[in-house]
Amino acid sequence: MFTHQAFLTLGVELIKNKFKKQKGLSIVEAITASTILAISVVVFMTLQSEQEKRFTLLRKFDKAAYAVDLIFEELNAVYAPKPNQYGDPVVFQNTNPSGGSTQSIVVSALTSLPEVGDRFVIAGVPGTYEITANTALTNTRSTLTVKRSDVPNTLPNLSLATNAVANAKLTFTLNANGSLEPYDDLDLLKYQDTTYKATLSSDIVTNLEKWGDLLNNHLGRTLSGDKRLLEVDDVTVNIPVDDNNDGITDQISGVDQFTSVTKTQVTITIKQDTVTEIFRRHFTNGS
Amino acid sequence: MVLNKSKKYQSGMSLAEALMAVVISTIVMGTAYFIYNNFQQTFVRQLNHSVIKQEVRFAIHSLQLDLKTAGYKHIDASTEITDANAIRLFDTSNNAVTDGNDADRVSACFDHENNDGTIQRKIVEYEIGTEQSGDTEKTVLKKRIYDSDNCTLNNDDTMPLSWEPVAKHFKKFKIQKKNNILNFDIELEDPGDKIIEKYNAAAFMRNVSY
Repeated sequence: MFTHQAFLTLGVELIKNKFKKQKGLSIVEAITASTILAISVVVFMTLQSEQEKRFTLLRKFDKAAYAVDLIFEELNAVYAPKPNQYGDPVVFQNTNPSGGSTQSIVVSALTSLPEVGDRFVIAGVPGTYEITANTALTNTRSTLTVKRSDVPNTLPNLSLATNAVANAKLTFTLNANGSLEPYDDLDLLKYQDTTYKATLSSDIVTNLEKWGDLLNNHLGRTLSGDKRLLEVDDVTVNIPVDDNNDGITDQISGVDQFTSVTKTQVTITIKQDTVTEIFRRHFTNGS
Repeated sequence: MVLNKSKKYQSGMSLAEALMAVVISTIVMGTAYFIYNNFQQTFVRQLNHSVIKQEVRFAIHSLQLDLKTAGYKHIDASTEITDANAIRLFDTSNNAVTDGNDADRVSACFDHENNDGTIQRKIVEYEIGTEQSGDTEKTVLKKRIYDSDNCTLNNDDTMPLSWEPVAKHFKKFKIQKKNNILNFDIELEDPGDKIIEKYNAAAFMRNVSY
């Protein structure tokens, strides 16, 4: 029979024995394990944080894309405004069709000189006419060289469809040069910069303040090097000719025919943090 | 004696060791769960955000497609569409809304060519409504189409041809007109209610000349 003392002695012996044999972890091993665990945690947290950051940026650009589309839509209204009528122009004298590829017509009651490429209609005369040349304004009058713009250019007769009687009213349907040029190099980051805004016309300032504020709401504050820039350029592209509309490019002596068309290209560049996105839209001149 | 011998060489864990092991395991498991949970939340948020993106993309596409056509008169149509009739805005009380003010409902009028070549003047309306009867919150963008002779909803053409849902998860839908530009102020809330996204878009109405 073991006594109480014997049990105690045995217990102490067992513990001593155990600690003698136990190897356990050395301090180096423990620190190494902890370091590996800490590195893993840091790596995962960094990945998570990076993913979150990119997701936030994606959300910002997603909304900014709609804001940019809004800017393009509003530029449509700038580009195709109610056409300038240059006063209250009328046909100066009875004019008969010249029967050629162009037509001269004297127009009076002009307050300023219409531009080449402008289009107009004449009361009582079918068709739309485009100005190909003009003379300087004298006594509110100018002689305009025009051609019909609503029929194919290849027709031999592009002059007036019928007689234009004196005092027949001219209505301009299109001004050739849209009004996007003043928007070139518009810095949308400077929508609160009074010095910068002082260099712009009031219409542009109104749009700059609206668009700048809109982008700021969607993209948030900017970092150094960020960019929100609107640029306007003219680009010329070659379009295949297909006058007979058979879906095949017309050829002359076996050579494909092209016609060049000038388009106004608006580019909005947004650089936010590490991401740069370029948005473009073409505005066709004279359409 | 056999029992005593086996106890002598037993090398199990002490209470302190066991507790330490439990604590360390808890920390490791907790950290792992925290990381997993974060990834999971981000994944769900991205999934819900994709749903919102899809809804808003279709909504804005549909709005622009219809409202940009406002005022279009087919060459064969006998009567003109006046600028005043081409686009109309209303508040929730059905009062007309003027330029520069927020409206809750917008309607556009334009000519549509039927399959048989006949011309039909139509009115298309957009507003947000409830998903189903009994709901109080308006979360669905709805589109209503009418046939019309004169671009106004008289008694003879108040029955819509269709009344269809366009997009879900709407929280706000306001329209503002300025000359021939319509601005949309839109907010959508994701299905998990984690994100409210605000979108601004516009439609240029080329057929009207205010």
